[in-house]
Formats: sequence, structure tokens, C-alpha cells
Amino acid sequence: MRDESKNNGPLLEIKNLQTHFFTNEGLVKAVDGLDLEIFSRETSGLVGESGCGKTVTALSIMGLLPSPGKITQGSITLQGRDLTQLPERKLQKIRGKEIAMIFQEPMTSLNPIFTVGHQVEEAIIFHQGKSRKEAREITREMFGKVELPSPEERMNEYPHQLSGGMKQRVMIAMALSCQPKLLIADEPTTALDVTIQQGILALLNKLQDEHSLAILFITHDLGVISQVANRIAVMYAAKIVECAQAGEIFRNPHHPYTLGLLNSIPKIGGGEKRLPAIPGQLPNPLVPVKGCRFHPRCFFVKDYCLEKEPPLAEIAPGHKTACWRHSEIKAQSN
Amino acid sequence: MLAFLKRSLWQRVITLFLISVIAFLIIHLAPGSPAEICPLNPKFTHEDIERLREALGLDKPLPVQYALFYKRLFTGELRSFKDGQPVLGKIWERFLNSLPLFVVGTILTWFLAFPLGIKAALKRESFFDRATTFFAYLLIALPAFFLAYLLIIFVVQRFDVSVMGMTTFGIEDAPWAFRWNNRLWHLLLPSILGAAGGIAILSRFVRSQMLEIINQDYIRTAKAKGLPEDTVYYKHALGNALMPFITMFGLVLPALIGGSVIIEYIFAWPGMGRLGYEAIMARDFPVIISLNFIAALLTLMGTFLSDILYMLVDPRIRL
Repeated sequence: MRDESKNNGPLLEIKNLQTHFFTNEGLVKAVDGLDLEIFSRETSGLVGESGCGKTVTALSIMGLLPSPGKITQGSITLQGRDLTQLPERKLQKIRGKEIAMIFQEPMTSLNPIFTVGHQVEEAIIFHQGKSRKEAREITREMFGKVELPSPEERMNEYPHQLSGGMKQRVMIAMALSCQPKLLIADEPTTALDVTIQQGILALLNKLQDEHSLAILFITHDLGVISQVANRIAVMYAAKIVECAQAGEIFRNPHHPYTLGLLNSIPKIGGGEKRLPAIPGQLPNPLVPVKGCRFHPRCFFVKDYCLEKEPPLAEIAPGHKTACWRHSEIKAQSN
Repeated sequence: MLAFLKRSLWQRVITLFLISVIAFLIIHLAPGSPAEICPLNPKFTHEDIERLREALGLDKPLPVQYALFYKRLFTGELRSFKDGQPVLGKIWERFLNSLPLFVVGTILTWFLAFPLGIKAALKRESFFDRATTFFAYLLIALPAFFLAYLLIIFVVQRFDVSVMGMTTFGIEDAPWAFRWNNRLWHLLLPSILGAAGGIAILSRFVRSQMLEIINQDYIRTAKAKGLPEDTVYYKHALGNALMPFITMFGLVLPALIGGSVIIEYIFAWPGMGRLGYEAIMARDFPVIISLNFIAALLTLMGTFLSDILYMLVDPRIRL
């Protein structure tokens, strides 16, 4: 296989990523010094509440930032190539072929005036130089793989003839049709109802094994992430605040934000107590918070948290957290 | 689909009938009878007016007049109150005069407005976008007659050609190349002026439509597939952005009969617009109502055509 799987280096490495939006109201640091590693054949979960910068991170990787967004600093390295430095023409060769993406809204993510078959074939023809006939053959095969009922008929149908779940399956077929190494799934199940959600998650798990895919799974749903992720990074206000193996995050959270998130999941047999919610809301992105970004909402806040921002430090092998008081939090959570 | 076409055709026939009744009534309700207007002679006695009313058939009850009118229209016997000429012949003659103006103007409008609007949308906030925005609003704001005089002064002084009328008077014996050249020069200004406002407005529509589409999720999907920009914009975005213009395209047809009064007056162009205006001034009922009827017919045909086009282009509309 490939080199990176031998030496176990990450497939994709993001270092100190700064993605800023130069809006009329002022500078918005949507991603502000983000570090993330994604490994082959693994699912990395990126968790955080709405507006914390998850989708902007994904679009930064894809090079699809909407204006007025720009990557101002940092690197995104895919197997030795820094994507932030590549010209648009080379990025087009990577998009869809090496990194593919599926989106939150399957209902609006397909072009209404082309058949879904055509929309999948298009990428195959462009990236692999196949003939229309070969591309059709591959598309039919992919439609089978994503378990669309009667793939042959589906190919000639238009998006409005398919249900949301089927559209998301088409999106997955499209994303995987060129055998990418990395699939970015941006809340792929959020817009679907729960039973459909389970089907899509199972499908992604199955296809990950078949295609030895790395998946960056973005969600705000801890229940979903616990089913799919090998590794989890928790994002808060444009930064990673904690990352570790999935089990470690759930059993051994060291950041008060992670702890708060876990406590706010309802538990079976938990009685009728009110769920402990995290008070307050995300800081206004136009007004940077001094010190630790989480301090206005933190139960463990001390004077020094208001002064200096904690670095993302390794506190155990493979477990990093950005909190001055992480050792005390551990004691409390147990 | 056939059933739909049949139903929609019938609906249009009924609509056309209702329009014909209402238009007929409105014209006859309007103050000022043709019998009183036509001979502006103070010596006209009351008996003369009565005689004229009788001659024009205006003394009969309205339903009878209505029936007679449309019978004559369809058999081609309808004659103008003003000069007794057959109405259809008059309209046809003017129509042929207006046709080149209409064709060149429409082609200019549609072939310039789309590239301008699309480019402005794709290069949003660029110098090109700002410049086209500025000129579009300038053209919308400037009255056509003002612009016309500026252009006439410029063209006449700079190129030393005459621009009034359809051709220069008295060149019937000149060689054909000269005559054609002359005709084209005369066609140039009125068509540009006729198109100017249309280009300005339509290019704005195209721009906003295109901007709306390129922010759609499926355009992001197309980009995420790695498709080159041209494919994303001209295949995925443009196809969707063009949809609303099918309706507009259907409504180009009735403009055939409308003409432009102002431009035809300025350039002394004997076209449809002037025919209609003069007919209204003279209370020439047969011409007014015939023009109205043809305009309604063309409008209904145009919308019918756009319905069919929608069915062919938009997969969501299959009936």
C-alpha cells in the first residue's frame, strides 16, 4: 500500500489553520489556530455546537471557502502537498478525486435539472478520463454499493423524484465514485430522520472498510459521533479544545466544555431531572475573548483563565486538551 | 402532456374571447364618438353626425356591432373609419416596417444582456461589475428621446449619413448596394435605442438571477466534484439561471405588435407604434380593436410557447 500507511503518519495534517472572513462588520476569525490530524482508514469526528467553525474547517480543506473568507495562515498537508499553496487548477484535480465531500442538506445539494446518474458520471469522466459508457457502468455499480433500490432506474431520475435519504446515498455514491482517500462528511445525517440516519451511518461504516477511506465526520450530535468515530476532536469558538481516541473522550474528558457536552446528553433511566445545560452561548465572533475562550461559560474558571489562553497540550499519550485546570476536572468528572 | 396542452389551449381560447369582449366594450365606453371626431368641421350639423354614425354602423346595439366587427375582422372586410382602407392591409404594411426594427432590437437585447449579466455576476464587485451597473442605471434613467437626439447629432456629424425615416428620400434608382447600405444606417439608431433600455434591465435580471444560483448548494457540490469553473458556471449554474427567462422570452412576441411610439416618432419611422397612436387619436375603432386583438393573441401564444419550453427544459415540470 501507500507509504503513509506504513509509517503511520497522518493522511492529512492541519497546522495552525487560520481562516478569516473579512466582513463589512469586521474581521471574523472563523477558524483561529486549528490543529488536526486525520489518519488513513480512520474516522475522525469533529464535534462542536453550531457556528463554532466546523464547516469552515471542512471548506478550508476543500479550498471552497465562500467570499469573503480566506486562509490567512497555517498549512493543510495532504501527503506532502500543502493544499493552501496549490493553485486552483491543481486543487480541482484533488477535489472529488482525492478528497470528496458530502453535505448537510441532501435536498438542495443535487442539481435539479440533471439526472442523478449524469451528475455522478460527470465526475468520473472528468477525473478518470473514462468514456460515457464506462462512467455509466461505474455509476451503476456505485448506486448498487450505496444500496439504492433498482440502481438502473434511479440513474435516469431527477433529484426531485428521490427522497432525502436516497439523495444522500446518491451524494455518497458521487463522492466515492473516484476512490478518494478522504471523505469529508459535514453533518451528513442532520437533515434526515432517525431511521434513515442509522442506514446512512451503517453504509458509511461499510464503505469505509471497502474503500479504506479516511473520514472526517463533522457533527454536533455526540450520539452519532460515538457510533462512527475512532478519534474525536472537540471544537469550541474556532479552535480545538480537546482531542483524543473516541473512548477516551467519552470516559475521560479533561476539558470543561467536553464535560458539559457529555453531561447534556439525556441518559436512559436518568429520571426526570432537568438536563444540565452549558450556560451562555458562543462568544460573538467579532469580539475576541481574552484569555481562555471558554471562560465566560466555565464552571471551573479562575482568575488566570481570564488572562492567558491555554495551549492544546498533550496530557496523556494521544490525548490533548486546552485547559489550565484539566487535572482537577478529571478528578471531578469521575 | 397532450392532455395538458389541449386543456391549456382551450383555456387560452376562452381567455381570448373574454379579452375581445372587454376590449370592445372599453373602447366603446371611452368618451368621444368617431362620428364626432372625424370631420373636425364646425359646420357639421347634427344630421351629418347622425348620418355618419349610421354609415359607420355605430347606431346599432353593441352586441350586433361586436358580432359584425369580428365577422369582418376574420373575413378581412374590416375597414378603417378614417380612410376606408382595409385594416388588415394597413396593419400588415406597418408590421413589415416594424419587423426589421424589432428583429435587430431583440437580437441586440438578448445577445448583449446575457453575456453582460453573467459576467457581472461571476466577477461580482469587480470593476466590470461596477461599470455595467453604472451604465445600466444610466440607460434606465436617461429618457429615450434625450439619448436619441445625442446619438443623432453624433452619427450625423461624425459619419455624415442621414438617419431619419426608413431610407433617404429619392434614392430608388441608386444601385442596390447603396440602397442597402442606406437602409442599414437608418435601421441602426432606432434599433440600438429600442434595445438600450431592454439591455440595461435584462442584464440586471440576468445578473441577480445568476448570483442567486451560484450561491446554491448544488453549485458547491459541482465545485466539490472538482469540475472546472467553466463547467460549474456555464453548465450547472446557467442552465438553472435561465429558467425564469423562458417566461420573458414568451412575452417578446406581443412586443411585435406594440412597436415604440417615441422612437418611431423621433426617427419618422412608419411603424406599428405610430399606427396605434394615430388610430387612438382619430378614434379609429377598427384599427384600435384589431391591434388590441392581435396583441392579445400574440401574448397568449407567447405564454403557451413558454409553457411548452418549460416542459422541455425543467424536469420538475412534466404534465
